[in-house]
Amino acid sequence: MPEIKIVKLDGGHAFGKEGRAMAASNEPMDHVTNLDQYELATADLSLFNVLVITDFIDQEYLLEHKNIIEDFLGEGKIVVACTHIFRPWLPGTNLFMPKNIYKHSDYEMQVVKADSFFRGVDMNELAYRKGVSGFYSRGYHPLTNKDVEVLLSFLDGTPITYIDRSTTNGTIVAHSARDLLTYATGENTTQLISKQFMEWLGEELEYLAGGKQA
Amino acid sequence: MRKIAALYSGHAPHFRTFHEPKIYQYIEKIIYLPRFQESDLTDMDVLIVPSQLHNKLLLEAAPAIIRFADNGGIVVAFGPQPWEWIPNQKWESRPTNFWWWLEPGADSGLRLVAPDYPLFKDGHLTIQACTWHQHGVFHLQEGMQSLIDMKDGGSLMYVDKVSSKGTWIVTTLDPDFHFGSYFMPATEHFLVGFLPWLASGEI
Repeated sequence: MPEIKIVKLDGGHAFGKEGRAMAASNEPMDHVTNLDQYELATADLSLFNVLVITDFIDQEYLLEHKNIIEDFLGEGKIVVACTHIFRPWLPGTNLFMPKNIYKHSDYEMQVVKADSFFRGVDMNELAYRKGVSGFYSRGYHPLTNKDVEVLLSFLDGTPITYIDRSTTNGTIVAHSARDLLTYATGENTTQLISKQFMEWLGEELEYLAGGKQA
Repeated sequence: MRKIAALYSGHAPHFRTFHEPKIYQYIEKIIYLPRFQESDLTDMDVLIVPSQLHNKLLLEAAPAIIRFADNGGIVVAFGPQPWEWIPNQKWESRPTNFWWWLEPGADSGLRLVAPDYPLFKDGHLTIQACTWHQHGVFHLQEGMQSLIDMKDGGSLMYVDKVSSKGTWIVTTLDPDFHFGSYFMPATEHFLVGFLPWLASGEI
């Protein structure tokens, strides 16, 4: 299996600072190199095979450098976007739409593809923290490509997480929710997501190394 | 109306907050932080410095922001401030309690200590519109005026008219982030009250 070499852009923001709320998103992790977001244009991306973009990343800058993202995908690599995309820097992706929320249960989700990195995750544990919902996802990227594989959606079917293997030579994970590498709601089944996501990255890189022949 | 400029990071929460029509109509100029130049502030009366800016870019812009206040401008700073850049800033980071309101006899800890300040007296904001959670407090120097204290010490929001010829309005609250993230309705109440006050209220 190819080694997983993730480059994760760092927004350089206060929440990312050590000891701050949500600093976990920038804590050292195996296989992950944090890169200041504004070094994307100059960094040697040949060292990496997965690019992760989360909230707090400057999407005006990503749009200016969308050719870098397209080239990365063109080399058969993986781009993971865990944010609300409002500029067209990610191939084949529609821009974010907020979900209409009338009641707390409107934030509830469902696993669409059972055999995915969400397998075994209790949807109530993902939707609610101490009885409060809305932490995980507040909207969606409307699909532009019928060939994508939706993994997670709201109960009305609008997609939260999907995989696009056909728009580019690589694999796109578009996820209008929290960081797939780090987010969990507590000591519960939501901790499966990051572990299974890392396993999936390894499998996907192997599939891509085979020239999408698998 | 005062001319209000806002620094814009290019990230999703700020995009939504500053482009929402009811906010945007009060903003004369959205300044993309990576291209910020001091001349952007010419003819502006107010500068909003939102939370969660890229630290290096913020610190590079800080001397120009300070000069803007020194020349009589009004600067609003939102959110936690782990980097020292606000004049006479004394920030204390505290663990965030997202859940205080679920506890019996819930007390947010906020204390409105300046109800006669025009922001509150003139009906722009209520203490409820300032109440969600916070990430720390500021400790004030002589001459600064706290508007909202925390019950266990420190200020959640203060006005500083002594560190410059202008005015610094500093709060650990981060409505720009939460509203822009489509989460926490109180943050919208804050912004729709706060912006009109910045535009034409007594400061």
